[in-house]
Amino acid sequence: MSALAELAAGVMLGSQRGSPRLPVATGEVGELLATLSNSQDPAEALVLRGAGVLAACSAAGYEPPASTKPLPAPCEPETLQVADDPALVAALGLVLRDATPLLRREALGLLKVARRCLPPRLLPSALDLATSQPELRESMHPALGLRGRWLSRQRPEWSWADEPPDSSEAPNADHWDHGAPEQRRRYLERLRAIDPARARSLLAEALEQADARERANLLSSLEGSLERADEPLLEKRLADRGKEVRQIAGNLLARLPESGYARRMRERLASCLGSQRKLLSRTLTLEAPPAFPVDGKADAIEEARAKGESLGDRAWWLYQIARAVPLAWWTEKTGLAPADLLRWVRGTDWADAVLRGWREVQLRDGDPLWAAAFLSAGLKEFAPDTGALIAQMPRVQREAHWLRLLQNEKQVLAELLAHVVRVVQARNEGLSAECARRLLAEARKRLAKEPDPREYGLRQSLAEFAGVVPPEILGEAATGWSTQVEGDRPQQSPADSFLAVIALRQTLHRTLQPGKSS
Amino acid sequence: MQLRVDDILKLAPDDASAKAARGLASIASWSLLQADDAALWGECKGSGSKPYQVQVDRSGPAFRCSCPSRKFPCKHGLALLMLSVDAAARFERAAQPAWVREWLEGRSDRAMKQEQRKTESAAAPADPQAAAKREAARAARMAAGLQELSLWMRDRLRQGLAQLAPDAPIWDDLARRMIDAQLPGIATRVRRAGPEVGRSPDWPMRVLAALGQMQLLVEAHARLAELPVAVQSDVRAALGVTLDREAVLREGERVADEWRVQGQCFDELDRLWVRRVWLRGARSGRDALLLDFSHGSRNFQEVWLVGTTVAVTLAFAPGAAPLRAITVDDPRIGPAVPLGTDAFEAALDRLAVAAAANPWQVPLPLSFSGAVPARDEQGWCVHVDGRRLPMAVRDEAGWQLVALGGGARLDIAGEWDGRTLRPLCAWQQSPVWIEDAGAP
Repeated sequence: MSALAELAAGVMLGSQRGSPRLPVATGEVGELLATLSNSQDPAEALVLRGAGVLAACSAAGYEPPASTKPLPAPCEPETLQVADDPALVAALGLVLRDATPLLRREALGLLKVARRCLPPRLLPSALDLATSQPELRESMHPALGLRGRWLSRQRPEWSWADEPPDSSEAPNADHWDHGAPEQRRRYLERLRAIDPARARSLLAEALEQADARERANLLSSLEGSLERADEPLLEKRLADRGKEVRQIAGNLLARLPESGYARRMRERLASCLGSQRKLLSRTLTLEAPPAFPVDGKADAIEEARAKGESLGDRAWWLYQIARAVPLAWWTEKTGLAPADLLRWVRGTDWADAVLRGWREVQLRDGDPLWAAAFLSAGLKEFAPDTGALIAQMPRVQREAHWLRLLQNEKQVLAELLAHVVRVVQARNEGLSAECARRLLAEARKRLAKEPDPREYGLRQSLAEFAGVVPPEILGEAATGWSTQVEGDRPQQSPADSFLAVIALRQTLHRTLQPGKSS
Repeated sequence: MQLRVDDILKLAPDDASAKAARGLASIASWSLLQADDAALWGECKGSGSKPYQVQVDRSGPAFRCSCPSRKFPCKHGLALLMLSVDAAARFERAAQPAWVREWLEGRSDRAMKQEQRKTESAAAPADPQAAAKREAARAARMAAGLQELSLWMRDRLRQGLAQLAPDAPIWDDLARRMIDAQLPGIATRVRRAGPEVGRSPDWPMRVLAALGQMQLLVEAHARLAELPVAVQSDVRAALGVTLDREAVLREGERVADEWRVQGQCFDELDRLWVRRVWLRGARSGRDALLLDFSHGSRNFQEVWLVGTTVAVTLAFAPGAAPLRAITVDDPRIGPAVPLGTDAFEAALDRLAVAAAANPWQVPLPLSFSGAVPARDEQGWCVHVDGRRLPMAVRDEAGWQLVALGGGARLDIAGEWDGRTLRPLCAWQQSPVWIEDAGAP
């Protein structure tokens, strides 16, 4: 026990209960304490004085304790070049701290192409970020470099970074045997990429044992990698006890044109089509099945309508058939263009049933030609899907559509920009320079006018839009904004955040040009 | 001297200004960008018809802008300085226009006039009799306050340390009475001692040490006149008597040197901002502390950038180990010189000498080489020469230090409060980490 601790212990219960004494020590400190003890002052004053002496002496003579823990081996020298351009480091810091996922992906992508890794001081926030957002881990991984992986070994929360990234990871059989439903599904998806036959037999086996919800979950994992060999397994599921499982199986089979199911559905639909001579021309006719198809049940067609269903019995059957046949079949079979088919079907008695089926097919298959036709027809049934349909169109038409919307005075620009960002993000397909220019020109025009209360979201969506401006026009995107709002209380204008993101991206592109070394 | 964008952003008075400055740091916002060796100036589009005239004196750096913002430096000044780093080529070399020349000349004029006023006022004290009377009144109040403190401390010991509670109002009451007795230094010690109760197993020892150090101050003040002048000055400073700047300028020991800015920290208590800038002389090897206060916001006129070298003459306040200093002339940012630190043993020796000479100086500067930052069950620390030195650092900054070291040795400069090291700057050949002054 140190002399000071001894002294403190002596006065814990108070000098009323016993007179404290100054501890005995050796050396000069001891002599000083001994001199103090000889004083006539009250005991408390002596203790305080002694404590002061000991505190001052121990502060001056401070010796840190020996370190008992072995330190981790130092990190190996970095093999990638470290991003150390000051402007780039500042920009990367911002990207990690406060940026949209799109901007983060762009920055990490540029780093990877330029074969650079993050500077050490940014590594903790990079690791924290990808720890809380696992979807970033794969793109973050190369940017961490050796130092980042070394650092991740110092803190258990970051241990994911010391393993190879997800994509190259061999599927972990443990996940299949003992994992949560999501892990089992992911295992299956990975195994399919490596060994489809084995994955199929595992799936078939699991489908015999799992409950309905898990059967649906596992079966829908085929969506991204459907192939002809899956047909027998799917056929079998058409007779599954679970309604959802049957529907998933039907949906998947509908996407295999050579499957028996797809063929049977086409035949059923063909038998509903007919033609009629009218004056000089022949007209296409449509008639719903007069009775429930004989073998309908085997193909998972529901005979009874769901409760509250607005379609009649026959329309209900027709709808179920229509949703299983690709839209291209209609154009091929009838020789009519999508727009003409739309016009025609709306003139028949079965428009509701067919349109509902077509809508499902379109949202599933995303046929670009049909997307354009649906949009220009302006059907109320499709109003909620406008965004999805625009996203399905080829880029040229999609952008033309946006520019048409821009002509409309009433179009809220903030909403349009937010939508454009969503589509670009979802399609992973950039915006054309021309379209970006036109949208920006409109934004400049509107910002120069009186503030419009409907555009309250403009600052936010403009800042997000800055993330999708094509790299080649970043320079011009930064010009022409007359928006410096100043005054006694400096206030940010909508363009400030936009300009900040543009400046940030300019820095990233300038400093990370392929082949440029910092 | 090459500034980095990060350094410049640290000059911003708040986050909003830093963010706004980033938005303005693109060529597009500027209709004019010019520079010469002494200054940068430009015109930035604003809401009015006339653009704002923005200028930066490179030597400070010091800022001026014609915008109405009350922030200092404003976003325009910061943006201009950032552009000079990011896009130096876009600055046209030109002769200073009138509005720049006048400001720069005004700046040096003002500095001269200030110096003149200082010498004048030193020559003729306002009313020596009244001043002496005020001084005597204050001394009496302080003596009474210290007497009260002494009784209070004895009472605590009589009742026993076990009776103490960390958040008991007695600590606050006493601190308030010490303020009334014009003893802010004691008040701060009392406020720090209270929360120690019960915090760690060895708290009785820590609290007793704090009380003991105050007792030494009580006794030192009682026989102040008998003490050496240097110690008198240390005792006064520890009690919280304001530094007499003019006396220091007049009589203080002057040291002209190239001072390395070793670290800088900002603390806030009750809206009073305290800034400590730690310097070490490249030639003299002396440590110096520049202590400044600012009410309400973190605005300090002089700007110091950690990791740079600054040519300036300092006047040291008297003391047994003089540390606190004030600037005598305008600091000029000089060429960067290689930074260096002591080996750990030498740093501990330096600490021992300083703590022995003035036991009341808290914190003390501590800088040494060979540090490996780490985190273990007991918290943050640095390992150096086979020892473990506890470190007080935010988690984010701690991990940054670990990342920067990569397991290899760093040089660290910081301050030592008697228990833990607060790192302010770390370097390997050049500064690699600087405490982010703006972060909480």
